Amino acid sequence: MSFKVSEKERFLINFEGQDFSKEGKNFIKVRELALEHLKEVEFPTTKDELWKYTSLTALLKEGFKPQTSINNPHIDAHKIKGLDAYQMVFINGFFAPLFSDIQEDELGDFFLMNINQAKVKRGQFMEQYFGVLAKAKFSAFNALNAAYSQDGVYLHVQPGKKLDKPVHFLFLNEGTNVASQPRNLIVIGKNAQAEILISYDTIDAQNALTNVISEYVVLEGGQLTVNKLQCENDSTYHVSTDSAYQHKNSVFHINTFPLSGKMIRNNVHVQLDGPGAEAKLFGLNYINANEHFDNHTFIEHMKPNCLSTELYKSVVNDNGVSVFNGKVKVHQDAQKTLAYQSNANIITTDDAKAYSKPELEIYADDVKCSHGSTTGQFDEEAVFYLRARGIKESTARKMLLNAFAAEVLDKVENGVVREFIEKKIERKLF
Amino acid sequence: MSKSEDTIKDATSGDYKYGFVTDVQSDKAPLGLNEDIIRLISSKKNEPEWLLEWRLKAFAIWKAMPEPAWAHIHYPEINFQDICYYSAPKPKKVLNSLDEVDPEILKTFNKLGIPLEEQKMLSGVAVDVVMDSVSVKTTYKEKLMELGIIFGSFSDAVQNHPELIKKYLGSVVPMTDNYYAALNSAVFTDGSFCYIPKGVRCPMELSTYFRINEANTGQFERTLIVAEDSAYVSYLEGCTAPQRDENQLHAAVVELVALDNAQIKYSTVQNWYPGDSKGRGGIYNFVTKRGICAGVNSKISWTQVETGSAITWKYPSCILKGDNSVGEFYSVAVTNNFQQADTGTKMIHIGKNTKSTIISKGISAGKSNNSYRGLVKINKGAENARNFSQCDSLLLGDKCGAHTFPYIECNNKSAKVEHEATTSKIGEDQLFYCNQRGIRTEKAISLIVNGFCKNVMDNLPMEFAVEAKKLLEISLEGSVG
Repeated sequence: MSFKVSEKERFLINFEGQDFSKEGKNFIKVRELALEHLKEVEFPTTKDELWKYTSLTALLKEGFKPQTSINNPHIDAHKIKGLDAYQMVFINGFFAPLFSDIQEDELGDFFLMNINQAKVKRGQFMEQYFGVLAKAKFSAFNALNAAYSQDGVYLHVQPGKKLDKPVHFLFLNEGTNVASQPRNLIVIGKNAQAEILISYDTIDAQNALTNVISEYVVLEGGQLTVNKLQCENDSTYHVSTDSAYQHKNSVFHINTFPLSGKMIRNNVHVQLDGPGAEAKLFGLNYINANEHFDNHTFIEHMKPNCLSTELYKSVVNDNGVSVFNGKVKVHQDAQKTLAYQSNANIITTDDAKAYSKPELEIYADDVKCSHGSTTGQFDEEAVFYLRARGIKESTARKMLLNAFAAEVLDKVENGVVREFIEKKIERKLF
Repeated sequence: MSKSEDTIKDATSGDYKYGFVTDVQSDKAPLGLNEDIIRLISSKKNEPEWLLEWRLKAFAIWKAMPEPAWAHIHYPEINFQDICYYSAPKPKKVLNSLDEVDPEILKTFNKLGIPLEEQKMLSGVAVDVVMDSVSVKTTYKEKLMELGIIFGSFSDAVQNHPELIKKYLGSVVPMTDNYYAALNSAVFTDGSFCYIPKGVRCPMELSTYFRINEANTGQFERTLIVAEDSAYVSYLEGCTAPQRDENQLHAAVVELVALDNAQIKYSTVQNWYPGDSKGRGGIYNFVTKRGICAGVNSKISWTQVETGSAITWKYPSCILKGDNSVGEFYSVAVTNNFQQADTGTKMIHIGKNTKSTIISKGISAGKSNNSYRGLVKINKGAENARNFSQCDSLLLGDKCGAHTFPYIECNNKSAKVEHEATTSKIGEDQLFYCNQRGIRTEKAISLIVNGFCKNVMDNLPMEFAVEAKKLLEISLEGSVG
């Protein structure tokens, strides 16, 4: 028998010693169960099909540690100017009430609070949804979050209500070797509507890990739009799991923008479990030197007459790496399914890499499903066309890139948010 | 129940027409696999020492390998000790003409509707008949010899051309490649060998007829085709097997080598026993097929029509190493009842200006599962590489599955890679259109399926196209007209 401490044990030891005893019994139980899973499950290697192109070796060697922010930081620079929204700010995974508008709407239209508070105030309601979609046993990262998550957002929109303005969740990291693990639960009631913006940013951090889980439940006729911006610094590892469960005639729309970071892994899982539900997944990656962005999506059609549309695009520069794995599974009952998926990659150098794996798994016969994937470079003829009309080469390329990106950017309905993303991309380009 | 469903039901219940056992005395090795069996196979075949060592090395590698589980197929565990690894029809005497071939065997082929004599006389196809594991008769050999073409059984080639075998055996599919390739390397009994010398264009389609005959005999074929500079060859392979209840394992390895400006066209029609309508029996077809375009401007083209086997696990691949080389893959895979197919291709682009095309058509009926799994990999140095892939699936019946698992890996900015896939059923409107014009539903389905597969069928050599269409109709008589 060997007494050597394994890499996993060494990685996990930093997370121990957090005090969650104030939480309700049932929530403590969830954490305990997750700890059990964490003991059993190993972190994936590139031998695992789902992590074939993304290595965790470097990540596991770092010693990330949960820690509160020491300074009282200025966060104004990270807000989105001109955005009229309810704001919830988290620093290193902990709730920062100073910067947040805690709203528990008086009219009872919706509940918005940090999840630790919700566990006390809304515990009974929450239990039916909490941890049901992104189960701890699914992966080591899920278990890690379920066991040690510090805080997160709880949003519940009451039936038939519409949020009067978007909610902005801002997650910031500060310090060295920070491990922040937000955990969010969003429930959209029957025929209710909401728009949320989730952004991840760095104040001043060296080596950070963000491991976040967001669960979305969209009840009958509900509509939810999520814009997700990932713009952490170049020493941040980001693993994110978004799990959505849709009832009859609901609409779930998520736009993902991985804009910067050392390694970003997004797992989006959508279950269409009611007839007439619609899912829309869009993503745009701008990948520069030493960046590795990995998008995995999994859409399950479980009931008839559902529609899913998916479009992910990447521009890969320098030695960046783009990974896309999109899976659509149509269950046997899901007749009359429509599922469209598309992935497009532009590679600008020979050191850049793009891996694409669109998958279809279909068990129903009356369906229309398609997927497409393209990888290529700039159309030199188009560049020539523009130059022949007196446009500088660099400008011409920029125009073409913008045109490529526009198809995804146009999906962001909120003009302020779209402009913010456009600016971020521009800064990254030049 | 609508009419089309009836048709599908009628069709899917169609019996396997080629199920019969030929009564030929067999020379069989005891069941099981160990070094002694390998030595036995090697000595029976009078092999040189280096080949025996090669086999033993492969066996050692195989023992250390885990059985692959990644494919989208399910089957009970295979007991590799319960298989007979060598079985040969008893040698009688050296034959000079077809008349001397065992009449039982000739009858088998007559039942299959491919009489050797007729083929020899009418179609000009040289047929190297492989029954179980030993080549029974090679025709047209002399004619080919005049051109310097070597075409015959693998064991003959080991005796007569050991230098060629030694040079190319395992050069495309190394014994370490995968579980079944390692197993094959250890125990292969026979197969075909084909060598086209420099500048020769093979004047006829070469073909082998495989047929698994002896009950409980795994067939481990080894095919090696080498096309020297500027040579051309078109090779046909077709299979049928008798009906029985135990599952039979077939783990073949096919290696193709195309040198400068050479072209190899490899066509397969596979119609092994797929198991009955309850999913009992049927062949397990675990095949490793790979070709290397080693020279500049070379071309390898795979065409396959897969209608048989309980399980098909097969990925004919191309390594595009030479500059300007071309790889093609055209496939129709039909599954019915409880059949499972996990098939596709790999296109590895290494050389500059390499091109590849993938056209895959999957048709699922009954309770079957049909998967396309493919890899397109553009290496860093593969300037201006180009790939186009299209994978379409057609679903007949609501209990079958159609899946697509393409892998696209691009490491070069000048490469252009496209992939598209669709899955749907035959449209009610299409059927209605045909019905309205007086075409019966049964016939209409057949028409639509034929149209669906046309891109691929067009790539088959004439001799095969007829048989392939027939097969498609029989399997889909099960699922189509």
